Amino acid sequence: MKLLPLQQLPQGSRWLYRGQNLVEKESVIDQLCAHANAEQLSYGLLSLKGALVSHLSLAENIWLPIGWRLPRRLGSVAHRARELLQCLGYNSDRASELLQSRSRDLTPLEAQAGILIRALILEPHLLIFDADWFARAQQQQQQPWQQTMAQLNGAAWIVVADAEQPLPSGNQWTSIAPGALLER
Amino acid sequence: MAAPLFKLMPRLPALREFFRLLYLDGVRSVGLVVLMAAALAAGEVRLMTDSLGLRSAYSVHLQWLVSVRVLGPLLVPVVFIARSGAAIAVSVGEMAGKGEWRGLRRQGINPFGIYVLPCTVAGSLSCMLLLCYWLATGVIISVVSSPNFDVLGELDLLFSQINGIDMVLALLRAGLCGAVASLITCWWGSRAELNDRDQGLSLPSLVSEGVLQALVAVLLLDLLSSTLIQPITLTSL
Repeated sequence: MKLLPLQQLPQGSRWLYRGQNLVEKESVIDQLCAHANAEQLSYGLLSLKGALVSHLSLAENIWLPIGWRLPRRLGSVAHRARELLQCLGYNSDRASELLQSRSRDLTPLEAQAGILIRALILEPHLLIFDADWFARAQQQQQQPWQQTMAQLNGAAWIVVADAEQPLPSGNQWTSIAPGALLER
Repeated sequence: MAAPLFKLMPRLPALREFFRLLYLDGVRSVGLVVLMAAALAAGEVRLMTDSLGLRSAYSVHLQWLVSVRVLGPLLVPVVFIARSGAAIAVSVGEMAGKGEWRGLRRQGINPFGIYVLPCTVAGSLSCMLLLCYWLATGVIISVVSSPNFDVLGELDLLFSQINGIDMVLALLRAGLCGAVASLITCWWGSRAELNDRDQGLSLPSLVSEGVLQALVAVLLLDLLSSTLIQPITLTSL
């Protein structure tokens, strides 16, 4: 079984995948991530469940996928994360406070901001969205959120949903049939 | 041997987790270990001198041998499991149950390197540390509680008879048991992730199963290691 060649997805393209149920959705996200890892593709994962390790600070959570592979210092990543949090509308003190907070102490919106910032710092070619995260992000109508999300427009996006989740609408989205994602 | 370990866990969160666990298991457990070692040492020396009529210096030496060859390497991992086994299984189980292990794997990060390896190394070193407290307490209490309170004479005799091989083997046994206990409790905790996909086991039952199996494994490992090393220790007498 071979997955879609993720590196060949055009930049800025938008893809939708609807699984039949939650188990299939989670399994597809697992496979996409494993495949992107195997291809050593720069990718960001935007999902809510289990996205942040609860006993680590937000700064460490943001740094972890970068620092695990590259010799990037926590301080430099935290500095960039603080700037991005300020772009999202948090003042400097609050941004520093959030970065030092354990992720279990964050509100859902703050956690979501942290996950977005982690994806931004990774400068991904591909973004894999859980439909839950995507739907919540779409609800954020504030200008800072929209502007920050726009920084990710150059990447290829894949939104993975289950049968009951709403999908984003618009002409730019291409549905992937369940069989088409996996090249056999 | 240390190089591959540090290649696997050179990252900040893993190192911090290692030192946190080492502090919790190896330093904060000191009171419990000292109390148990003191009670046992005092009891053993009293039994040997009063009931068996052994000489005081000989009792101290015998107590040392019992501690270093039998009780220390066995009871220290048991104390470690009783105090930290459930905590390890719960923290792993919570991470796995919330999908954090899956989240780490999705980001290309091995949860083994983040938590299990630091936990195993910390567990092993903690048991070695606890054994040192145990043995030191045993010596002090047995000397103090012996009827002929000749500290210098008894210590001099004891140290002239202490065998380095005994000490090294005891540390290795305790370290191995600590590592195995940590691995087993981590593994049972990590099954909470499978539980998410309807395996039907709740975290409390996984934790108690993990603690129980760690205890059984330590007892079996102790039996095996004491059988294997018996020829070495007997020839060193």
